Amino acid sequence: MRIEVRRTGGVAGIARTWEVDTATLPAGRAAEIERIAKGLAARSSLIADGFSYEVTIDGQSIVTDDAEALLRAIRGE
Amino acid sequence: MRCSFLPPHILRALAENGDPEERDRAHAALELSAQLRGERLATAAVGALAAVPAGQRRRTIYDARHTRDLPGKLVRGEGGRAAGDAAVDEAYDGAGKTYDFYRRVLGRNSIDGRGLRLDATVHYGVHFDNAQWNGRQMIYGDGDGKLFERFTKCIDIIAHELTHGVTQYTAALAYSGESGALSEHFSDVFGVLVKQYGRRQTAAKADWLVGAGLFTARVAGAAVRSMKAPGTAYDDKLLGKDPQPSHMRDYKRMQDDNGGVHVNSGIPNHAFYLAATMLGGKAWETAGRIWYATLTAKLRARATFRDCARATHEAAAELYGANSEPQRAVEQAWRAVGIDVAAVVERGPRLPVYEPPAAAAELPTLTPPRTRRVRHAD
Repeated sequence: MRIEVRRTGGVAGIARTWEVDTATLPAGRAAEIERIAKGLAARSSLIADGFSYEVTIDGQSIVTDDAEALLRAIRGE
Repeated sequence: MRCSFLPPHILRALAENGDPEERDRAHAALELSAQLRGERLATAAVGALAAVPAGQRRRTIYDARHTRDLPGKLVRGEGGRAAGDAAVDEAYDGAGKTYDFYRRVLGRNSIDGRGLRLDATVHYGVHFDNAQWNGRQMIYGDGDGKLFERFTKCIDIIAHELTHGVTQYTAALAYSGESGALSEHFSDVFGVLVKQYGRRQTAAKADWLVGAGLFTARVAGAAVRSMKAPGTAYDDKLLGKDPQPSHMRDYKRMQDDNGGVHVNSGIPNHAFYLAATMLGGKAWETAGRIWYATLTAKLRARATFRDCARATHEAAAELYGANSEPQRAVEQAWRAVGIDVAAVVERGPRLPVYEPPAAAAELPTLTPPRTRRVRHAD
């Protein structure tokens, strides 16, 4: 599963992108990342200085206001 | 009375002017609508914290201890001893400096003008690269430590977040497109003014940077934004280049960032910088007052940059006189970023008049200061 997370907004207003191909990861970590990614729902909020996340899974995109757990999993935190 | 059915401008009026019961209900409804916009809030235990009377600073700092549960554990209340935790004490001191600026310079008693308690949560999440205002409180992340330092490190970022609260209770600018960029603009303006005021720094001496010190030494950049030279704050191989324009011809139409609210704010930011440096002296004394009158009395929720230009022009006339030096400086500043105020003024009726509060202890002189010519070409 190819996952891309593009984070925009925030007080710094700096866009950043993270990518992962779970096929290249150990099975346990891959399963954890996929589980979190599949659980995300499209959602928006207009919190001042809030982040917005565009998450693309195998070519399908959703926009959500919270994908920090997925980012932590991808970064291995 | 069911506040939740009332439109936001009426709720805000009740929250400011109602009797105590109406104020409580209006605050609760405003908070609820903030939650309905997507924010999850734990109900704060507030009983023990209400002891300080309104009209004074009331700060409450919570520690989320790297979770994202709000508000977290209470770690420092008003008058409490320093916690010895940099994020806690910076959030506390920064909220105090911001409160004092609004109170002493602009005559405003806290975010809502009625002494609202200033709540902040620090150590929010894990390596969270952000500071935000959720409609009710400030939230600060620790940063990842690789690119971003902790977000309480910069007084202008703290004042930026609190100013989002002031905006919520005044112009209530919609957080997308031009009105959203104006919300960002006013937060940057009062963010840097709180910093300059703390340093007793003149407009000429100030660096006009927003968030200087937020990047770690690994990042090629001085700050997250520059009001003096938008688009030049950073240019880094990982973070990219500062995308801010400084002129209307470079306005960026985009989907990201609620239509580029942190990007296009460079245009009014630069106009403020130009007006303040043309006027000379301390930026909060004249330009800051004009912008405060604009934010609190003259803008509607969907205001555009042109509306803001017109409103500052009118506020300058009310405070300093028609065709006064400050009014001419404001007009020149907007023209330099591509907005012809004279053309905008011809349209539409007069805006509401700003009535300065009597309480401001350090209200600056009404004598127009010396004006310098703009050096920037159109």
